[in-house]
Amino acid sequence: MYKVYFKQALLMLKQNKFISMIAIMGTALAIMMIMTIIVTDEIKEISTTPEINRNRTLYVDYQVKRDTARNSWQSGSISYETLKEYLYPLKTPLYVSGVNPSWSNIPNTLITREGSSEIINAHMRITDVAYWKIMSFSFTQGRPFSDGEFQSGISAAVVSETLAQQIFKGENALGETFLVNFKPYRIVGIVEDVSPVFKQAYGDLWIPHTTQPVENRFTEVMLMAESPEDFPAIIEEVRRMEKKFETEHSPWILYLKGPVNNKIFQKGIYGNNAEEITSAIAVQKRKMIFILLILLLIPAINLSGLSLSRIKKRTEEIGIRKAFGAKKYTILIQVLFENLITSVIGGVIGLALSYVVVFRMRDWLLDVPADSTIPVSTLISFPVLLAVFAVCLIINLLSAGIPAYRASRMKIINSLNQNDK
Amino acid sequence: MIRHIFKIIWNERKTNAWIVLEYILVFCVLWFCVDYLYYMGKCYWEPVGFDTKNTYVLEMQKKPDTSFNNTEGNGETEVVDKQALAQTFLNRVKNYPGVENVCFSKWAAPFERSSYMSGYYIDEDTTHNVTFRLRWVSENFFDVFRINTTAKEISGWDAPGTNQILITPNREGLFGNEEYSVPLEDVKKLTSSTSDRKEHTVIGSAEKMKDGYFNSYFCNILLPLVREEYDLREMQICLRVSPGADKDFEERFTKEMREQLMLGPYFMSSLKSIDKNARITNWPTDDLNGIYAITAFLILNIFLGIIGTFWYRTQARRSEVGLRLALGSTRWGVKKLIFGETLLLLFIASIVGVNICINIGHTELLELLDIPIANRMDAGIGNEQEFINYALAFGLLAVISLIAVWYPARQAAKIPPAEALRDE
Repeated sequence: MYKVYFKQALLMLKQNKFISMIAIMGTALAIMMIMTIIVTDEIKEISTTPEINRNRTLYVDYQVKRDTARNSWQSGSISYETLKEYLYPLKTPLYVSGVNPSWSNIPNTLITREGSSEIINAHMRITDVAYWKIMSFSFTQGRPFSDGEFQSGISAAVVSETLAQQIFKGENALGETFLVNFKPYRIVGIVEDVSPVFKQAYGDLWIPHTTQPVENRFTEVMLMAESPEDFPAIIEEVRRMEKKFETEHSPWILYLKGPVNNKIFQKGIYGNNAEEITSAIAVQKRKMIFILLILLLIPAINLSGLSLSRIKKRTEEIGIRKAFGAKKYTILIQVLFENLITSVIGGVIGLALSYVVVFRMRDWLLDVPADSTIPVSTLISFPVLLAVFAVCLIINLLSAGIPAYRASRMKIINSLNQNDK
Repeated sequence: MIRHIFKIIWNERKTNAWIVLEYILVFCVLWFCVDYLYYMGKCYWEPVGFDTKNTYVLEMQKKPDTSFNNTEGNGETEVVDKQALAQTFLNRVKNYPGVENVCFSKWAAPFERSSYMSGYYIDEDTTHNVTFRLRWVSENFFDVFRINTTAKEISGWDAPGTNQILITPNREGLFGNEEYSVPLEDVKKLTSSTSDRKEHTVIGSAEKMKDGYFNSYFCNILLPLVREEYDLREMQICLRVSPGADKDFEERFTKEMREQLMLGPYFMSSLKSIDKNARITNWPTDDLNGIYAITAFLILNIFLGIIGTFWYRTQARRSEVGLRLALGSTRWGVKKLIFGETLLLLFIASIVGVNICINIGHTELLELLDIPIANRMDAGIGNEQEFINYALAFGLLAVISLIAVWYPARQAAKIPPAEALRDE
């Protein structure tokens, strides 16, 4: 049965190449736009090395301290004090880690080898021990800096392969000393390079908070849970810590943004209190729905017009089929199925195009340098393929639904007479 | 002619309904895209208040551990003579070939993110506490950014105890905020509304200033940056380079001056062109790219939709066109009919679209969807904007539609009348 439909649909496509191409291009365009959005989101959300625990991590990247007596306030990244006093002590999360935000210090750290006048600009991440537990770096040599080194402020550093190569030019870098902003550090570990797609993991070198002056210690905090089910409990505990701050620093009160999951964190939503964040999230959701609606609706109307014209040309055929006993739903399914083939061909082309778009426009879509690589593991995944098919189906239903319905409802006598009034 | 086209459109009302619907949707989205782009363009071309051509911002940092290294010996931090270091810095940078001038400032350099606001009373009026943006600048700031002032003498304005300041107006040329403002020339004295009640004498004014291309003009107070405040890490350091010397200036300067600018605990960490940097940090890349993407998508869709529908239609109306040709209509006449049909459909849709857009524009719907919208009050844009939007959105769609319909129209005009008539 469907084989016949399939053959018929292909013949129809061949018969009228010009219109088929237009219909396929229209579908491909819509699917390209939607898939670009979905693939971009997927890259930002997928849990893969090195950010292997994104799905069970909560993020706090913004704090507001308000003096209720004088109505003045300070806001910004999480200060090291807040991290140390109110976030490290959290009991529910498995690990709590703070790292300087990826947008700070880009790439402003001066790296030199002792005795050499050559200076390399590098992207430095200032972090702690739990960071190495939340992330999964592949160490080619050595190890992360240890808790002991962190606590006593020993200048130990982990560097990327490329940076090690740049400084030591092929010599073995492990255990060597180099200068970070003119302060000597010893290399304790070397890791494989990280793609800038991973905002929390990316860097050229990683050093402990305790080796930097206090003014450099501001962070984005990651709270890794045993499983996402613990999220409400963690949020609850963070709220308790805010209360603790309030009793200790009255009249000052503290607001810690979120903590939010990876999805919301990646969207960069801002707000100075819980209500603002909730409403900002709602606005973002509405915006997304609105954009998807536009992206689906306009091509659907477009294709709908085309299907309608196409079916009008075939009313005679439909009339004959009905005269020979075809049921309404048979006609309906046939038209939808035929259209689905166009949608699927368009879908495949659209998906391919969306990869091209994501790749060519990665600096805008993913906010990474134009020459950076995108790991393949983030590109092709089961949810993405499922999404393509779902989008094809929706476009198909939207664009062919009404024409198919009308074709199936037509009176036999009218269709045989080519009279659509 | 037009009545005739109307009749044709009416006869094909069922397929036309789809095209009109699509036109309306696309028209509405384009309307807001045009609205936003026009606003952005207007803001961008308006003066910022600073001449940033050939200017650079230099950042100094402090070596992280100088203070605790030196505590070992005598238990006391080595005192760094910040002013002397700043003076050495000035001399060295000024002597570099191509550098015209160097200035220090705090919360003052253009396109920087941080700003400092404070409340003041204007003249003797203590009922209105007005907030202004404060900028602390050294004398050379005016030369580096080519700021013209009405003050008679700027040099020596930082003499201790004189508390001399300059002020800048808002968009309307007034000094104050939205609720309360006075003519710029009338302002003689400002009193701080903070607890110290410090009084400042206004010695002149400068052009209106904004913090970035797309910010609004806020009233500023320019105060002298006194030498006691000099700290190479804390200050913004900007330089102006002579027009011929700006090629590869960043690279050259960084390389050649690195050693010379190792001053005590300070070192140079970066040098950036202010213009280039502004285009990165002060540019709504995401919004603009989003608008370009949506516009391109809509235009392609309209193009495909029109070409497809009219192609079918001219096929379905072969005999009609044949008859027209047989009865003496010229081929150009047939084309004109099809072009006219397209434009009339677009026109009908645009009338509906305009009504929708103007009504939506007055509600908060767009804010609820976080769609980038023009801040008309800030940019001084009035109702003429609506005509511009209409003209641009209609014009764009008309051009695209005519290009799209050109191929089907040509096909129709090429129909041999005899053959088409025999079809019957």
